[in-house]
Formats: sequence, C-alpha cells, structure tokens
Amino acid sequence: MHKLDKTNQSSAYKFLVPFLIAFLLVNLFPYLTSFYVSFQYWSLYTPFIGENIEFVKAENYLLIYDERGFFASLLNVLLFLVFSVFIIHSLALLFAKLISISAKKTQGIILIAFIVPFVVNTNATNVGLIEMGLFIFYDPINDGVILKSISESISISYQFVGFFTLIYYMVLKSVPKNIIEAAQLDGASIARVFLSIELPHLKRMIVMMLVLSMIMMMQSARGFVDIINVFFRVGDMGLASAFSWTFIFLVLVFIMTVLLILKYRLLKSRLVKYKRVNKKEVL
Amino acid sequence: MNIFDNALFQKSIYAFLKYGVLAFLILFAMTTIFPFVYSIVLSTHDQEGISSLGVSMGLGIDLVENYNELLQRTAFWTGITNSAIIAILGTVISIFFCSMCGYSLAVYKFKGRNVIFGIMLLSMMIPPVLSLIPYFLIVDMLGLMNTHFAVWVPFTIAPMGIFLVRQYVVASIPKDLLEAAKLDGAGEFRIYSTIVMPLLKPSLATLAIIQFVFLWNNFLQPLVILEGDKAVIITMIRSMQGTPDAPMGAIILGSFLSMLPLILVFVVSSKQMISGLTSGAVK
Repeated sequence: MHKLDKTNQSSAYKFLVPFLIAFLLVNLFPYLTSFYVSFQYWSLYTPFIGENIEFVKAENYLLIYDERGFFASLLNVLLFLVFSVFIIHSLALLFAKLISISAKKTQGIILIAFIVPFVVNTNATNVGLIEMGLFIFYDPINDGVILKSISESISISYQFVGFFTLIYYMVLKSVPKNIIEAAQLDGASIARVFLSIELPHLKRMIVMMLVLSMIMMMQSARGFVDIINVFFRVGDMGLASAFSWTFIFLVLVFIMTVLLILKYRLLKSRLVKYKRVNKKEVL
Repeated sequence: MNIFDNALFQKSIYAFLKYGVLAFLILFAMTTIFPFVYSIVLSTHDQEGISSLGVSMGLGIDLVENYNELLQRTAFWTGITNSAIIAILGTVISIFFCSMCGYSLAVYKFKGRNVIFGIMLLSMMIPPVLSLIPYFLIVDMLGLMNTHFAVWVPFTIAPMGIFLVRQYVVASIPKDLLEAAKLDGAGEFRIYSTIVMPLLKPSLATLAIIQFVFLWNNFLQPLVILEGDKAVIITMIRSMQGTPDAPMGAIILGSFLSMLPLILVFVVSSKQMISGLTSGAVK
C-alpha cells in the first residue's frame, strides 16, 4: 500500500506539470513583477530597463490614500460583490425551483435560453446591456455609490443568473425522489418540500457556488477597472500596481472572512461528521 | 391546519404554476434572445434608420450596403479566420491540460495538493488587468509579439476549467473503477486516457464551450499584442467603433456575424452541455 502511494505521488505531479509551468509564466512571474514595480517609479512609456526604474520605497502605497477615488471605488466593489451575489443566488434558486415544477416538455428549451447570456456574452451584447441597465437605474451625476453598485450588480447578474439556475436545477433533480414522495404523502406542500428537504440538500452546493460566483464577480467588477484606467492613461505603473495590490488585498480579506463564516455556519455539522469518519477528508 | 397543506389551495396553486410560471419563465427567456434578434433588425438599416428606429422591429433594406461597407472598412474574413485559429487551438489544448490537472487534483493525495488548489482559487480572483503589463513584457522578451501563439497559450490552463473537471471527477467517477484498472495493470497515464477521459466527456463539452467562447471574446490580450492582418475580429470591430463617422449599421452587422460562430457552437452543443451537467455532476 505504501508503495502504491509513492507512485501515486509522482504521477500526480506529472499530471500537474502543464499547470505548474503555466502558473509560473502566466501568474507568478507577472504578479511578482507587478509587486516589484509597486515599490518603484516606472512610466509605461519608457522601456522596462534599469535607468528608467527608480526605487521609491513605500511612497506609492502612501500616495493612494490621498487618491480621492480609492475608498469610493473600494466601497463600490464590496457593495457590488454583496449585491450581485445576493441577487444571483436568490434568483437562481427561485428560477431553478420554478423550472423544475413547470411543464416537463419546455424545461430543456427554457434552460437553454437561460444560459445564453452566460455562454454568448460578447462585447456587442454585453456592453449594450450593461450600459442600458446603468441608464435605467442610475443617474451618474446625482446618485451615490450605493445606487451605482446596485445598478451594476443588476446588469452584470443578468449574465450569470442562468448558469447558476442550471446548476441548482440539476442539484434539485438529484434530490432522491422517494423522500419527496414520502413527504408529499404526508401532506407537505411544494413550499414545504422546498424549504425542508431540497434546500438542506442544496446547502453544500450553495456554498461551493458562492465561492464560484464571488470569483466570477471579482473578475467583472467595474469599479476596479475604472480606477485602474486612470493610472494607465497617466502611465504611472508604480502607482497603478500599488493601488491594485492594496485593493486586491482588502477585497480578498473581505471575501475570505465571508467564506470562513459561511463554511463554519453552514457546514459545521458536515465537518464534524467528516472528522469522525476520515480525518484527511477535505472539502 | 396550515394553509399550505389545504387540498384546494394546492390545486389552485398547481393551476397557477402551470401557466403563470411558464409565462414568466418564457418572458425571462425571451430577454436573453432579444439582443440577437434586435441586432439582426438593426443591421438591415442605414445610419439614419438606426437612430430613428427606436424599439420597432421593422426590417430595413440596407443589409447588402452595410456588408459592403463592413468589408471596405475592415479585413473582416481575415479577422474571423484569426479568431477561429486562436479559439480552436486554445480550446483543444486546454481540454487536454485542464482535464489532466483536474483529474490529478481530484484523485491523488499528494503533498501540496491543498496548497495548489488554494493558489489556483486565489489566482482566479485576481483581476486580469493586473497582469497585463507583465504579460506584455514577457511576450516581448520571448520575441512572440504579433503571433497567435502568445494569445492562446496562456489560457490553455484555465483555473475555472480545472475546477470544473475536478468537481466532476470527485462527484461522478467511482474510485473502484480506477482501482480495478490499476489491479489489471494499467499505468497511470493509461487509466487517465482510456478510462477517465471518455467518462469526462460531458464536463469536457462544457469546458470546451466555455473556453471557446472565452478565447473568441478575449479582448485585452489580442488588443495589446496583435496588429495588422493578425488582429482578431473583436478588436477590429472595436476599432471601427472608435472612428468619428462610425457606420453603425456595418458595426452591428459585423458584431452579429462575429457572434454567429458562438451561437452555432452553442446551438449544436447545448443539449450535450445540459445533459452532461445534469447526468451526474452532483453527488
């Protein structure tokens, strides 16, 4: 058994070789470079070589706090994350349940239509829709950051609701039929079945999908891109990098806190059970 | 007695659900398809027609004119070919790499597994804008400027895809099967290629769709790296929008034509995608 484990280990690494190489080139090196640049003064319009780069200690990090947009855009991104995740999951659960109880014949077609915005999200349709959503709900001159985040999250959630609906729909389908039938024989209504049987069954998937949706929302947060664009136009890469790192750090701290709370709140019972059965089992 | 458990109430609820819910779902589903239909309508009008059209769905007569305008302003079919090369190559290779990594993370227990998984999730959360400048520097350093290779290779390792495959393997590939193959003397790579790959088909179909769409729509990297007759269609149409007397009809026709491959891919594979996700992605 011990021997088998060892061969296991080496072949696991062999399978991971492409990932590790790509990770080094595409992720680790760029991020380290930008972390290095965040302590320097370097203009985008000069080549990236010795004499153009000037070490300025933590000056960039101190400068960003004077930047007026920093806290506003941070608040914008955090609110955007909270709102959009809330909208996506509540709507997706509702839609999934509604589809699963609607006529069997049309379920497939409706699901296909639902994931169209997620799959075919080209610039053409997207930008138009997002701008349209922003104009309907948001007046850029008079409204504050909260309304801005809400309107952004509505228009971006629209793309992702279908995908999560599909996931929840298929989990709902996997709930054992005999349990539901037993409950219905005992006189439980649709709402009761949903709340007391299906929702607990979905719990684990919901936590996983929360992680996934937060990742997706991080990628499409506009508050972040807006402020980065300003730095890009000026060309001060040191400031831009310092800004991004601070920003990402704060947002990640926020997400991690939320996830830890969720994990221990929602999955407590499951974790305890796992510990009893197999200590090495992980989520 | 709970009102939810009342028999008559249940019956009327069912009647309502049958038609009301269906209508509601269809209405939402319509909104997802509307942008495509509307862009067809818009592409048949000339400049003045578009600005005075409003939300009416009447077809115009300037389709051919718009098409000629489009061909005059851009190397449209070159752009489409370039996009296709990038998207197809990237998708095929990424299916291979992502399934390897996902399989390895799901099946083996090795040192650093959780670390790699954690890093992967983290790197997914960092917005891509941050690594754009270092990416540009690396590509320049390797002498890969203005090549398609530099655009699709970095995305063959998609953390999202690895995550998807891992989840699928954990949920639906029985460990007994792998152990049986091992006892029969199959090597690690053989197990992966002849037993796991065929079983992974549904999730790989999903992955392929997501990757194809992502690579086709990818805007930032091609914008920075590709120019001239190597440029992709999305950047071509975008640069057309920037010109002062932008011909809106031609632009909308162009973006609709550039969406067509995505729509085709989706229509052909949506059944496979949905059945794949529903067949056993959830434990």
